[in-house]
Amino acid sequence: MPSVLAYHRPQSLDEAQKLASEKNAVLIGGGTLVIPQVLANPSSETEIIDLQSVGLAGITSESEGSETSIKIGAMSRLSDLINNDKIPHLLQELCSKELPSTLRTQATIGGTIAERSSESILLSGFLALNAEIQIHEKNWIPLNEYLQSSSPTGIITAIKFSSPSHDSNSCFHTVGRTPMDVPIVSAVGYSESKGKFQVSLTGVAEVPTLITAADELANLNPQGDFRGSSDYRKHLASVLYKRVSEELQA
Amino acid sequence: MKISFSLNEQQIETEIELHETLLQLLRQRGMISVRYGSDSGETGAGAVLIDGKLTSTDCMLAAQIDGHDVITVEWFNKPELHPIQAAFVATGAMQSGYSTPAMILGTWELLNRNPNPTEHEVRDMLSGILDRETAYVKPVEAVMRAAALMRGETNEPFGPVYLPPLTDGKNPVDVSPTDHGPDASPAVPRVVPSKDVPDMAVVGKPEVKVDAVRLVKGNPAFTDDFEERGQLIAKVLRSPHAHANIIDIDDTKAVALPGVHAVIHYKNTPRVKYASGGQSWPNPHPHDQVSFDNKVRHVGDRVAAVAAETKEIAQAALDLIKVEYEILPYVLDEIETMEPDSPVIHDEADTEEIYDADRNIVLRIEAERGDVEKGAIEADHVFEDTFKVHQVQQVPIEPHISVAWLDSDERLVVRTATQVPFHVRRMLAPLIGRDIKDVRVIKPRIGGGFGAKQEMLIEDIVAHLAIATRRPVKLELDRSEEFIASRSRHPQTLTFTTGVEDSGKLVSQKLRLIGNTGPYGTHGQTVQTVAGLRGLTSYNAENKKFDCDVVYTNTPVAGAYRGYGAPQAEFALEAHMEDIAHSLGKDPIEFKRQNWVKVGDELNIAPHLGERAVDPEDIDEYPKITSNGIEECIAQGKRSIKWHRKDDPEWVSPKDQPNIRRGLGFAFCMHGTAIPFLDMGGCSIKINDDGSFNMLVGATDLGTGADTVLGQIAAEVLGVPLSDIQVYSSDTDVTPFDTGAYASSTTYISGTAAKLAAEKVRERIKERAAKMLNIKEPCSIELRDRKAIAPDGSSVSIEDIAMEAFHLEDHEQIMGTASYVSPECPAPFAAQFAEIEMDIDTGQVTIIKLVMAVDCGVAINPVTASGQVEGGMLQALGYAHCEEYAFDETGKMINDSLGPYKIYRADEMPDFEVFLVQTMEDSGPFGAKAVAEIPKDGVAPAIRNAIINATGVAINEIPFTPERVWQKIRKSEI
Repeated sequence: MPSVLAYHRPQSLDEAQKLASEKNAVLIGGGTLVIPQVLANPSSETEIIDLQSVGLAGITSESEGSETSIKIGAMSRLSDLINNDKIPHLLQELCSKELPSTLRTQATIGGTIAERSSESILLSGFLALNAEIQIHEKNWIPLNEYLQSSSPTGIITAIKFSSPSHDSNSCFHTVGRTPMDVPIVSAVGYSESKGKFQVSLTGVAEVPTLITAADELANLNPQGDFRGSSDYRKHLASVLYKRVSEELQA
Repeated sequence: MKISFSLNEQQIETEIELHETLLQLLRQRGMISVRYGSDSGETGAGAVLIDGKLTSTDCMLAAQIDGHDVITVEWFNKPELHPIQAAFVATGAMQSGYSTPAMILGTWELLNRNPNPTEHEVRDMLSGILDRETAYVKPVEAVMRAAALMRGETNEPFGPVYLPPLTDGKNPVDVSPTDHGPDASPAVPRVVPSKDVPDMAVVGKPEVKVDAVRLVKGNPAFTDDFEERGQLIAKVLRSPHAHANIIDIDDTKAVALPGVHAVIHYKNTPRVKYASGGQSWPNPHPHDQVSFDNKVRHVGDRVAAVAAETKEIAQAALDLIKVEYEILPYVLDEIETMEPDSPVIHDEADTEEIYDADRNIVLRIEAERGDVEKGAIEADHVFEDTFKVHQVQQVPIEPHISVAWLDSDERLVVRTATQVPFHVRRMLAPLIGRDIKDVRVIKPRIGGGFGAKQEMLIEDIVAHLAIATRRPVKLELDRSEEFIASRSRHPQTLTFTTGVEDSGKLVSQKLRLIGNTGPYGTHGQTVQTVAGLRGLTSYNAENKKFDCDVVYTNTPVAGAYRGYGAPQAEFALEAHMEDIAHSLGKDPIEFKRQNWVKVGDELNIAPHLGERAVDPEDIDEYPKITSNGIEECIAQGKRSIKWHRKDDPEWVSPKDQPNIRRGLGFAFCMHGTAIPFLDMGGCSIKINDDGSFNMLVGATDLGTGADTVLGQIAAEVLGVPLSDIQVYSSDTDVTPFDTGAYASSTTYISGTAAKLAAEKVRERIKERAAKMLNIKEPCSIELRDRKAIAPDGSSVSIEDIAMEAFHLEDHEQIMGTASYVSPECPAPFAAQFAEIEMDIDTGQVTIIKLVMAVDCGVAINPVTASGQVEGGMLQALGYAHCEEYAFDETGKMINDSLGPYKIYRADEMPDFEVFLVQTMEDSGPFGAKAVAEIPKDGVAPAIRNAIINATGVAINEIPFTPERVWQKIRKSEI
């Protein structure tokens, strides 16, 4: 009973889509999370669909009027963002916090989105920027909608967001056991113009969560763990939201 | 599946298995610099350059590499070192060197992209390569120096900066706030020389490690780098239950699986009782383990083991073993386990000498000097505080690994990553029904141990399987097994009760300790006695008492971990003393100084604790403090940490950051150097034709630089450079006996053995030289610069002496063998300082800087010694701040991987600064005392005391994680 029954490297999205419909098929970008899980189960009989050759890497910008949109292909590695001038400094910093050097060269943006980790500060950053994602053969949808849906399917092909204007402002605050620890709770804030902002939180729900007004904090019901109880996480959410909002409005 | 890729610029086409990882593929193709640390990429030990980018290989399928380019460190390897490799060698940037190849590759990639990186960029590059040894201090320095070299610049030679003393060595001084100390890289050891220490040719010099070239080139060095023909792979079936009886095991399907060669468990292995702690004979009781039992006592306990053709087959076979359990109640807490209704963990009939099995008490330890109850009554004040310390893991990046096989004489050979090869041989033999002479243990390089490998942990499994299959068998633990099935630091509950006079003088001190050894005793007795020793010998008091219960629980097993009980006790002690000082309105350092032991003071309870404890009536004279450089340590540390700031309210509470508080903390540290009358080291030295020497030692270099230090000692005696000494360690068939690498003993004990052996060789060389030079008095001859030099200036080279001895006259092999056991245990001292910043709204504590100034006698090699302090402080920082075991409601560890179990990485480290304050310890080789363990002792209390400085809040439980701190400070009025 092998853990990996087959390895496919499709050359097109259509081919990938077809392969992905097979039983026990698993899509991988870099595979940093999926491969260890597959190999840990020697009888999983997984069919690996490696997306590295379907042409989804790359970072582009498109201007329409005064608006510039930045599009990141799903197979772009996190390290690609750090080294690309088009990417806002906020996201570059969040990429560094998301994974250490030896993993961010392998992990992809598409994989990060598909994992939908409640602790992903990078995903939280995209959320704060009102990013949209594209799923093969579907229209662009807000990232938040994707994260809130109960069982999303399909191949993520890209994520895009409006390039922050000169008037925009962004910041983030985290609390962790150490400075580069996966945050227990983090808050990423973005303000397109003064007075209007939104904050995305990690560690307080099953997925990163967008907060547009302080009173929404009362609705949070985070699950606690050994790093932080539910009450403590709620407290942190309140403290960090306040800090981020004050900083954005300063 | 066939793939094609470029490996070190050579195009490769090869067949792979679909489940094969890139790490496995590269190692199979001989790229053994690519090393295993985990299965999910967090350690970075197996990182290589893929298409020019540093990438982990253990979480990537080999299939993914089809069409790509891979570069490993073997690509760099020419006869001469690449400038990056040279920089790592020159700065002592590797200890075990297990992950050094990945660091070198990352450096190459970074410098190609950015020839002039900032320290921040260097640390970011290193962020994916975890290191438990160097604290990243010297690797960062190596990268910066490599960058300079590759830009065509010239670096100054790397070595210590020598500082004038600030004190007279005995009395405290005030340090000027305007004196900022040396302006040097943090990687440079600051050495404060002593006028009592003569200048020497090799000792005290920053010699390059003898194994440096091997390690930077990624040459074969570690257990897994050598493969036996026909090697099978073993895997272990582990208990999913915290406590259960095994009613039955059915291995029929596993045995029938093609590729499986043996399945072993309680039904087919002999029931021989033992204790797995790697300690001197006779191993302390109780001997409460067998290779495979019909009861499991913690999640991760052994149930069965399989040897198969591949790891995948072995894993599949484990899944086919049917085990019928009777699940029992379990207990994790060391207090709760002694309650009458707690489950009995050792109810078997054949374990002897458990103190009270029904209450899970392994043993009681009591020792008293004077009358502590009377002392407390007579004291003006009595203070009592209770502290809780937790379970943490050593986390060597190389997991436990052993390979066993039968040699051509059918003797059992075990190549294993162990700190104690001679103990392993002696302990293993009876478990497999063999005589010691039929067992050979070879210890190659070890990728970190820190006490976890002071254990006969898995060698019996591979031995049983090798005998059963008559094939070589390898077992390597994965990262989860390292956490749940290896060893860890003992959790403890400690209560200090101290009587104090109005003057501040201590009258009595009692330590009540409950130590949690997990379900097996192993090091349970000795770790707790060392905790008692360290807790009760740092300060003078006429009346002292140690009262200890060592208890069983169903946590993963505790064992030896660098510091060996001292970090627990010194956290509690230094916190307790700090609180007493505050209660009495005294300055903590002054209060501690009034009471800490000084030269000539007796260690008045020490002989009554330990493996060879003696009764008071059997003692003629108590051991005394023979050297102590603590005042100079404090002065240097205060200057470095800018101690005066702690009393500046504007610094403590910055006005522009209302949520921030800052603090400085101090801890007095005292450790031991080896176990007197017990730790023994041996050394054998022989001369070669060219006047070089082979040195065989039983001591085990864990990456500490022990081989280098021992070589330096011999070279100093023999008047030759270190490069003329070839050091080999250790092989039980070849090298002399050594108790092993633990108890801060190697430099002091094995170093003295090396010195004695070298002196024997030196005397014989001098006798022959006297004859060749027609000198009547051989003792008048000196050995230096590879020559024997007579008082009249005439000389003969050591090479000529060797040639004469081998080939011309009075033929002989000049050689010397010596061993050493010490009657003494001289104490190293240290001053640990910490600077912290904390967020009072969240409880998050950020460590800004750690400074340790250590009196380790004479540092034989200041670069390796400072590296020991840096690495020790890193682990101590994790203990204090972020590392902990967490369990679910079934007793299963829920954070048994790196990440959830958080260890510090390069891009989040506080600043480190290390001072080596020389004293002359006459009993040590060339004045040396120990340095390896004392850096584990002071970080937690110094941080705790810094939190008090910042907020006034005292926290008696570690680690100082955000919620724990927040819960404490929210109840206070800050």
